Amino acid sequence: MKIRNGMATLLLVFVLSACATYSKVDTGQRVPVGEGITVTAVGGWASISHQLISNTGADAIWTVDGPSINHLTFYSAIRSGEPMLVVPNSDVELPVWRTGMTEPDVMEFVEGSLAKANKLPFIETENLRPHTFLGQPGFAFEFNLVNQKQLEIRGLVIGTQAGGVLRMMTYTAPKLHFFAKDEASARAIAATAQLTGS
Amino acid sequence: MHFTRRHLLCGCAATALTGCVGAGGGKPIAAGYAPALDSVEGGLWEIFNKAEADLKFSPLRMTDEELNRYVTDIACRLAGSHCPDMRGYLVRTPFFNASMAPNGMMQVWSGLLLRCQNEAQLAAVLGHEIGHYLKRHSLQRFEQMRDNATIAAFLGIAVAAAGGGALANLPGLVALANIFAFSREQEREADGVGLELMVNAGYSPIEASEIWRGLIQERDAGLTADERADRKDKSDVFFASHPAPEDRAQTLALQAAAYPGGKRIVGEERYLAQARAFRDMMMQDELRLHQHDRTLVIVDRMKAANPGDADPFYYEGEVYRSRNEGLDDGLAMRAYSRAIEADDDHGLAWRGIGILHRRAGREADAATAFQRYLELVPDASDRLMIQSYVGA
Ligand SMILES: [Zn+2]
Repeated sequence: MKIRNGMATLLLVFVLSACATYSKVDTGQRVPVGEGITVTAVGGWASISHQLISNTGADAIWTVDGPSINHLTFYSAIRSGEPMLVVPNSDVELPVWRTGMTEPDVMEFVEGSLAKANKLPFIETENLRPHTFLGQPGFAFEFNLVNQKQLEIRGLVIGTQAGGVLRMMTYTAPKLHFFAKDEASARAIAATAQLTGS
Repeated sequence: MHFTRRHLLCGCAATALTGCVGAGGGKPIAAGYAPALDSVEGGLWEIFNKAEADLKFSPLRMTDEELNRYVTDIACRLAGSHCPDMRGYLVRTPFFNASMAPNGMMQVWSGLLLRCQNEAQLAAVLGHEIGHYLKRHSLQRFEQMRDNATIAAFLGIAVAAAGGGALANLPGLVALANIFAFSREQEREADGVGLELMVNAGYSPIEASEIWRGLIQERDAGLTADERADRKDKSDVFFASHPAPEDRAQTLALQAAAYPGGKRIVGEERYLAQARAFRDMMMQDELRLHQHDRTLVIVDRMKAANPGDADPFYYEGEVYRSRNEGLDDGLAMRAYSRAIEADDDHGLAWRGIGILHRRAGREADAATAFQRYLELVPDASDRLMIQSYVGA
């Protein structure tokens, strides 16, 4: 039964790495979160060490209450033909992003990536809308998913595709209690995001 | 944790472990039957009663009343006087599977509903699962476990699945569904019972083998002849736990031919009327698996079942648009256009057309298509984004 073997997935990696090394991100401090992007922290976030996230596809992952609960994840430079996520030691074929995709395509790309990498029983997206990110026209949408532990998780995705690069930030937390708790702070952080050199 | 090992050992399993095996597996079950609590069978039922209590609250349950009533009605027509002894659960999981637990808890996964072409095919699957219940195959399997290691392994799975949040995860759900790998003889027997129940309820028995033909097509879709011979696809939950589908398709077809002909229910329209409301959702779940060759088999079978239906063409467009390689945009456009030919008010097909035009930089064509989409689907969840494209 492959389903049982293929559990080395992003969300579970987070669970396993509960003993991760964190460094507190001071409020008001501008910090890099991957290739060419900086943000200013708002709220009590801690950044997870690079070593531990190197095989997820993300460039930076922050958490408030622990990575198995809530996380803010930055994807700073997905290029044409590249997937969003990485599933270590697996031959799972993940969807790839391509230049020229419309925002509905990108939403489906994110949905499909999360679903396939994490073997989610279901994920649904909603409220795709225009949203400025990094000072550029971009998009935002929410998703609801049920993970393999049958926990209901909600997420917010904010991103922009320009100059042949897809840049995104996702905020993910259990639907019950946790999502609302840090949603405002996640949005505020997204609003501070800047491209370096711009 | 509500099911303790102590309880288990004090009950049935202790007797099983010491070789005092209760009889009954494989023997027909009476309507309204419930086993004695201190029997082996009672212990087995208890494990699954706990699991069922959790399944009831799973966020994956499809709780729509009308759909549940539809499936339950079919099951009841098949099961007759045994109907009150069984409970069906529709579970949103995009794989082909159905299962029957010894206590009458039946799971039907959405991936199965997506693949049935008509009511008779759904009845065939339900009849097969009811067959396992009627013949007490689970108990028979348990009684056939001769060595302690096997029994311990089985109890390990069962206890893990039944306690501590029970169906807490998809692997648990799969483990539970496949906890009893039925023997070939049992599968054959369940197929036979299922066929008989189908015929008694007025269904066309040939549809039972048709399901297996579809699964074979899907399994082999996109594979080279060598790969097919190799049958390397073990990733499918269903094929991992069941005997070769070729044999079953053939045996079922032969058995079906032995029943007298005459007017029998196939029920394409009836099935479509019930499934339509959930098909978009189930198809999107399927598309997210990114197994495009297989999905195209499902789409082709939908077209064959209901030739006038616009949806399968729309789904075909979605498959190609999602794959997004080589000539796929052209194939997607052709498929969406055929959906529009069949139903000019197919809002989602217009959305697909708009996206393809926009990808290609044909803004004016995109705007026309998107406008049509927004008129037809006013509460679209991507409305704000699409409006920004149209400039509205
Ligand atoms: Zn079976």
